[in-house]
Amino acid sequence: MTGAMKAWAVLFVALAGAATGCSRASARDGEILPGRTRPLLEHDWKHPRDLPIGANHFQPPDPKASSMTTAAGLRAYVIPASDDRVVQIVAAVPLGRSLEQANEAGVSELLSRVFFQQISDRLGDVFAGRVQVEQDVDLTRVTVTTLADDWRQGLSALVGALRQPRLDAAAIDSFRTGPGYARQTRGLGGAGFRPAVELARLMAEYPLAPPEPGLTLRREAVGGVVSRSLRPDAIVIGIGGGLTRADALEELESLTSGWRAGAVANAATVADGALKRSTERVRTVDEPGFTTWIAIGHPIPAIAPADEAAVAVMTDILNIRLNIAVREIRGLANQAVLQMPATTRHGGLLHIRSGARPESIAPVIVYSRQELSRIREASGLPTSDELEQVKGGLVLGKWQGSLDGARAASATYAVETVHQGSLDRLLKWPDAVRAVTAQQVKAAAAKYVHPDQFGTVLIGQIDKARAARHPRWPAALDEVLAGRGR
Amino acid sequence: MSRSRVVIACLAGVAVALAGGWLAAQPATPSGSSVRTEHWTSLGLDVSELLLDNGFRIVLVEDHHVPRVAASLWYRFGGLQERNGEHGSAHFLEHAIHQGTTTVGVKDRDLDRKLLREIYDTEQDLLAERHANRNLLRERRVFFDEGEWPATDTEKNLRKKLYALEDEQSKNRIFWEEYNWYRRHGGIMRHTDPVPANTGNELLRIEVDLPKERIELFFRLEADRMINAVMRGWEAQRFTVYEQFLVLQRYEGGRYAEALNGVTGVAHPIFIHPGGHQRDHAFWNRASMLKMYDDYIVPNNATLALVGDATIDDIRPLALKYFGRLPRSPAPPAQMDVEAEPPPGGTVRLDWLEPLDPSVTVRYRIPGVGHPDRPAFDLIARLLRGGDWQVTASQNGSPSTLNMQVRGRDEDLPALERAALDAVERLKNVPVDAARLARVQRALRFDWELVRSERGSLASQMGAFAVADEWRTMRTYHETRNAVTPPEIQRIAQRYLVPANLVIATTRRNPRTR
Repeated sequence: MTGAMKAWAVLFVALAGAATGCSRASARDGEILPGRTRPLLEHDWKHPRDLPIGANHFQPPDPKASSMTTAAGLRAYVIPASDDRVVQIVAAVPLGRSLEQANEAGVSELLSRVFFQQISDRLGDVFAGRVQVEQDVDLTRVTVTTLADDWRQGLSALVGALRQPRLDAAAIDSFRTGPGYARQTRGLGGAGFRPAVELARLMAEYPLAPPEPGLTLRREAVGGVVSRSLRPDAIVIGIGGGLTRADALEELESLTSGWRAGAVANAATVADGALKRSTERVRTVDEPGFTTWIAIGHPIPAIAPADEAAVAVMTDILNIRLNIAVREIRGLANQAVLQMPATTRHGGLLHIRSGARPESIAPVIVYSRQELSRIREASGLPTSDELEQVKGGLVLGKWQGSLDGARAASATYAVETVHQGSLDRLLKWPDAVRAVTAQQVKAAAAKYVHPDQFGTVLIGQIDKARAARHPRWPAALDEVLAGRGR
Repeated sequence: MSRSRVVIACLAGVAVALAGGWLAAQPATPSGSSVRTEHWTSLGLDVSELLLDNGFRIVLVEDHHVPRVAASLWYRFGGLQERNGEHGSAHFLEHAIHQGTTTVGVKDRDLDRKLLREIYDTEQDLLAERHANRNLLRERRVFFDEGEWPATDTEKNLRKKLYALEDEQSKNRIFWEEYNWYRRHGGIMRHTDPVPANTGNELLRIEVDLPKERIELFFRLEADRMINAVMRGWEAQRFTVYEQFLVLQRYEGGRYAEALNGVTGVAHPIFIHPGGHQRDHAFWNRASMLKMYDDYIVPNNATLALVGDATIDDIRPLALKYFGRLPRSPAPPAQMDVEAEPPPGGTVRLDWLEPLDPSVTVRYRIPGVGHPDRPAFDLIARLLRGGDWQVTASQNGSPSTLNMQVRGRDEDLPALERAALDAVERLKNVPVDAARLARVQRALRFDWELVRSERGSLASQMGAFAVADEWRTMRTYHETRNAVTPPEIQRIAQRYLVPANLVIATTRRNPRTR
């Protein structure tokens, strides 16, 4: 072989080796993980953090263009969607137990039942649509959803019920406040989660806690609430879907014509921060079943407007952390949810809800408290990733979702106007959230979250939960409830 | 060989070698695709279908009101695919594939691979131990303590080892990474936990609504999940799923509902509770779960329904770039297509003796979605409503049920049962009033318009039809339903609402006093 030939041969071997090496590197494409039959796909897709993301062009419907006020003073937001064959009408009414006076406990509950019954009766069996009434502590949301052909009928029934609720004396006399919770606990959601209601009753007085069950009403008390809450200048209506603004305005004018607000008695509501003097911090209720339900937490005052965004960010971060600690790493429970009061304007209950098998109860409490304490410490300061995840969720997710389309936006505008008096806070919310810093989250936690003051309510297999020890994360329930133990 | 020939041969060899290496390093050629658009004037929809060569199907309805897109990915897979003794494992698989992939949710990939191998081998040892001692470990009893799983000492030690390995694995994980990417980018999901998915007897679906400019994230994460899912934190998830099962069992009527399904059919797995049975939770294992994953979570067993601010031209490149890279798998095993029950022989009565709120349920078996008679049962269900009666018709691809339920007092139950059966007889014997039928059709139109106008609901409904039959059935289903006449109602009632096809069940507050 000549020198030149040798050189070519060496080059060939080298290049072939290099090529084979490339080939071997890519052979990972055929890797099969243990137990799998399909090979992995070794791809070159960008990691989610590196994906190119264009600008977000979401714009909420123009609230000014949709706003109107009738001669009677009733405000409305009407957002048409010409190709929608459905219309949703939402009346936001300032009605709830935080707005009741001392002798009016239960009136809001009675009125919400009256609205539902009266609207359903007016619409009758032939009505193709839906009537819903949802009540928070300071707002009642009455919704009628109809086919676009029927919206006048729906609006008429709704305004009629608010303007002239049929409150016959027999109905008032026979009314008794309900238990305040759902009889059967089937999950963690909703205002009827019994452990949370019991916890509120354990640690606070009405109206932070629901009124005691079985209370009766005086007729004049009902009249007082009606005169304050069911005024055309207090209610705000949101209408969205397949109708025109002009038609909606004309109909609203007609339906509210001559509706005058009556004289209002001085509306001194019950102080909502009243805490129980008792030092009792634990309540247990025996119930059969496999799951024991938990609520741990404490009352908090109204949240200062300047803190609202930081509290929202804090809540979502804590919810992620709680579930990683309780669910993902340890499999103790399906969920642990940090719940803040439904409104920031009144005091309420900050609490964690969960439910689990007996052996998990004590460790769920231990690790939940740990996570809530940690965020107040330097080691628990939110990371930049956590902040970005949660801010994205609050702005691009929850906020956009609340303004997603004519129906959602008109309802949100109505509710926000009753809550806040204007839409300023709502429209500035994305900026407020984006500006939240890790230190502000920590400060919000220090101000509002106090695990050392938690009360606890357990409903379920109490004896079993006391006796059980988790094989991997053992903790004694009695010691945990006494503030000792891990 | 001449020098020049040697040089040429060497160059050719180099070229071949280089080309071979280069080709192997390149991504496989993306699948092709075909697009077809249908105008459904009766439903007010234009639906485009994009079908990739690997069998992955996308159906798209454009809705440009808001710059967002609802994505609803459906697998034709569920409880029907479970083996006896492992019921509930389809739901568990839903959780298991939401723990990251080879590229997401993990810090050190090499350590991840090492731990996966150790975990898998340890479980294999555990299964071998259980198998070797199966006669010793069999319980052969009716009652058991839910916390006590019989095991040998070796098995207990292997399980401890598994737990320790998973603790090690936890340190190497980035928890909730996929979910947090969705959240960061504004994903709206029905669940507040990191598994935005549901599993039933015939379906596994994953649903996320994203701003339109971020929809690529869904394609990136879900295509990866379809082939590269890594089942980390498996033991913790076992208990998470178990907790969900316990809640279902606990709520009043949970066990009763399971028993009612049990007597409704004797053969069809559609009547098996999709959450499984209590003891099954101890026997789920990675090996059989990975087989389900490889058999069913494949592109040719999936339909992605998209509704929102996107066009097929926006979607096609993403589909080809991500889902198009996945190889077509062998056709999934056909357990899904279990056919009808044996002919029923007579009325079945279930008299539940656990104290519950008093109720009567009157149930008939009805055809599944895709059968021409099925749409009429939505109308029949509405026509049978009245007073406090709740009447529903389930919508499976498999045999379904028409359910009439009412609550009352213990002493009222016989009269309520008679009232239900009388209402059924009237439907069979007297043609329904046309005006009443029109009212019922209008109520169903309202339900449909709500679905049509909500991105997520519409995407979900298209997916539901895709797994029950096929997505185009949605159109014929609605058209058939809208055209049902009083004589047809009567014919169908006479055919299906017969004593030989009937189940009657009662619950009472004081069952012993009867």
